[in-house]
Amino acid sequence: MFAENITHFARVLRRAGVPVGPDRVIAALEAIEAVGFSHRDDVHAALSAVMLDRHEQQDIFDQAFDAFWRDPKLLEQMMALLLPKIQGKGDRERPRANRIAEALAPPPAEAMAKKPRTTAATRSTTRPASPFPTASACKRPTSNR
Amino acid sequence: MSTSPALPTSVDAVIGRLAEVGYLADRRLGTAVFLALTLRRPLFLEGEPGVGKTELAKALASVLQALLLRVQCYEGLDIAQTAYEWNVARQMMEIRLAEAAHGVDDPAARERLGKSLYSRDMLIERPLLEALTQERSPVLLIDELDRADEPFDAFLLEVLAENQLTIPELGTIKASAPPIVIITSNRTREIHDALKRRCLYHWVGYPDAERELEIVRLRAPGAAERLYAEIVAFVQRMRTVDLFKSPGIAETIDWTNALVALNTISLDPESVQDTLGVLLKHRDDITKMSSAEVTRLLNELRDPARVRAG
Repeated sequence: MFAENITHFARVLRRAGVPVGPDRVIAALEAIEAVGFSHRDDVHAALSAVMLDRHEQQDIFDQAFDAFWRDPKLLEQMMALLLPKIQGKGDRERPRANRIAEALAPPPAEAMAKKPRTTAATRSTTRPASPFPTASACKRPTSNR
Repeated sequence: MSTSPALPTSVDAVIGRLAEVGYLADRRLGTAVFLALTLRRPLFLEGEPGVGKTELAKALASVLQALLLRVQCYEGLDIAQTAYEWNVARQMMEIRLAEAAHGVDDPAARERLGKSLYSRDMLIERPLLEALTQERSPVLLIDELDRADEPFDAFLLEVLAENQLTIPELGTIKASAPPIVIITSNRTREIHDALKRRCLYHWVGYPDAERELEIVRLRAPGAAERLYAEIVAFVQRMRTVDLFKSPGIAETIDWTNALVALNTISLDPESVQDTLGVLLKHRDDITKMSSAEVTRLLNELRDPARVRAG
């Protein structure tokens, strides 16, 4: 049951553009086994340590984790609700975040489905494709030189 | 386990034992360290310079009473400097000695000589190889990996993933007591994904005022309580100013020590100006923090209401 939840959580993260492979899911299970499931902060810290590999992913992770902790089953619906908010942050997000908006938005005409789609479409045409779109957002000594 | 008999068994134990050696870790970092020790995975620490990434490795080695091996990365770093090197001078000497003793006259003797030239005795061990040949797990610190060239990431993969190192002339050396690995990066470049995937990730941020106060009290003793509070408030405020390089905890500690050495009782524009070089390491930043600016910040911290009104 618990393993299922973690797998599900990983799947949502993956769709949100955080590359969480099967190896990380296994590591996540080991990590939770080590720290226990009683303290929310410990579970949060353990899963971040195992599942993330860059600081920019933390925001998306935190939002997904909040939903996951409240009710793992509701997570997917929550993600759909959270997505417009994630997009609202503008340049900091990768274009990939828009792709999951499309992936998560259910095809039948739900209220949420419309908004992320249009944003994704306009974005992809206006933004040049860059392998590291976050580069402009994070402070790097090289860019300041 | 053939490692240290005293691995901490809980997150609280990790935080407690680190505090005993003077390193105050927050709970998130404590959890990451605990997992690194328990799952035996390298811990990858990213963050601004001076937030205590390197210090953590030292503190951990001291907690575990383990040997600390350090690879300081820089551009152009190669295997000879980090892993191993053949002792060429000694090889030459062996050849000369064999010649002098007529040890190269028949094919069998030459064969023996050839073998002996590439034996373990002829290797000079550098930190990476040393980390794999210890009887007790050492702490291996790979510092500022972002400064090394990308091929070095690939080379590290074998060492970190398999705890082994292949030397073409000699074979594979596998660790009987795998090292506890801490990798740090200041993010001047992205580290290869394959390497990061094998690690636990932790972003080390600036501490909040409360924790920074505790750290400074512990690491720079001798100041008045009021001065500590002023220093931490000033540094925390300074991190919100757009600077080329914001002061880290290391700078806060150094600055406190400097102020104590100058018998400062309370921060005033003059004492701040005199010691600004300890806190800021770039000329542009020092120019930006003119005495008028320092006075403004100090007034703001002392009397926030008046500044907001004015």
